[in-house]
Amino acid sequence: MKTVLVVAVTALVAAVGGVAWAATLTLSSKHLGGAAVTSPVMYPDSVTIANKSGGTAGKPENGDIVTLVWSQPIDETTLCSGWSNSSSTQSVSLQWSIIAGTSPTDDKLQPTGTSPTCSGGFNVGSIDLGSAGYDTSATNIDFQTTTNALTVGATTTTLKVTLGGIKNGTAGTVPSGNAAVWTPSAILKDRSGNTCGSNLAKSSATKQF
Amino acid sequence: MKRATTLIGLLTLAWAIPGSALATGVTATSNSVTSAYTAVSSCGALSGIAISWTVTADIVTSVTLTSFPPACTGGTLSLTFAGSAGAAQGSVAATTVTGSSQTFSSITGSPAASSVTGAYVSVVGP
Repeated sequence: MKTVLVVAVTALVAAVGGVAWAATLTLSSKHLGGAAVTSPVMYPDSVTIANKSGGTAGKPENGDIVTLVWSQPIDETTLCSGWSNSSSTQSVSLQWSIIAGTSPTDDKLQPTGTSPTCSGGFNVGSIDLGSAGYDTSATNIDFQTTTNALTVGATTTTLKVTLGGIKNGTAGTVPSGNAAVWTPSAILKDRSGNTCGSNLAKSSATKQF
Repeated sequence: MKRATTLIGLLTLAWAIPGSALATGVTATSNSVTSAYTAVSSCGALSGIAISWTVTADIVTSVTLTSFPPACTGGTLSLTFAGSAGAAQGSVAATTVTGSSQTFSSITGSPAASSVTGAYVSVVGP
C-alpha cells in the first residue's frame, strides 16, 4: 500500500509541476491590428506613346500612336456624351494638343478639340510627357485631325489615339526623358459608376513618341 | 480503509500515466516552456484605409494609403496584395507609419493590378 501511495503522489507532483514553471512573457506593444481593405477596381491600366513606323523617335509627329487602357468596360457616355454603350466600338476625329511646358513643368498631351458628337468634352484626362522638350516653343502643338478609336472589351477598355494634322508650336526631339504619367478624368466612369479616383498610369518608356 | 486508499492510488496513477504515454516519441528542443495571456487591440480602424496606386503596364509600381488612424503613427505597417482565393500577389515590406497618408514605391512580387482583388493591412504598435 505504501508503494502505491508514493507512486500516486509522485505522479501528481509531476503533473501539476508544469504550472509552477510558467514564466513571464514580455510584449513590445499591446497594439496589433489587421484588416482587409478594398483595392482599386476602376483605374488607368496602361499608357503607351509609340513612334510611327519610320518616324523620328522622341519627336511628336503625325501618325504617332497613343494607347490608353482602362481596367474596366467604361460607360461610353461619360467619355463622349454622344456615344452609347450599345456599341463596343466608337470613333471620332477630335483635336489633341501638346500643352507647352517650361522646365521644370513638363509638356502635357490632352484632348483640346470639340465635336458635335462629344459636346460635353472628351473626358480622357491628361498625360504628363515627362519632359518639356517635345514642344520647344511657347505655343501649343495642335493635332487637329486626330483619330480616337475606342474598343470596349469584356474586362477592359482601350482608346487608340492616332495623332494627325500637326499645326502650331515647334516639335522638338527628346533624346532622354522620363516616364509619361496619365492622370485620368474624374468625369469618366465605368459601368458600375466608379471613377478612376487618384489612380495613375505610367509608361514603361522614358522617351515618348 | 485499505481498499479506499488503494482505489485513490490507482485512480491517480491512471490519471497521471496517460500523460506520460502521450509524451512518447516527442523530442524536447528546449527545457523552457512559457505561456501568458494579455489583451491586445488595434491602433485604430484599419478597414477605413483607402488604397490608390500607380500602374505601369498593369504592374503596380507604387501604392498610396490614406486615412490612417492618427494613433497608428509610429507603428509598423505591412501590406499584402491578394488575388483570387486569397493568394498573395505581392507585398510592401514592413514600414513605419509616418502619418495619415503614405506612398510606398518598393513593392515586391510585381503584382499585376488586374489580378489583385484586395489587400490585407496590418499594423503592429506603436
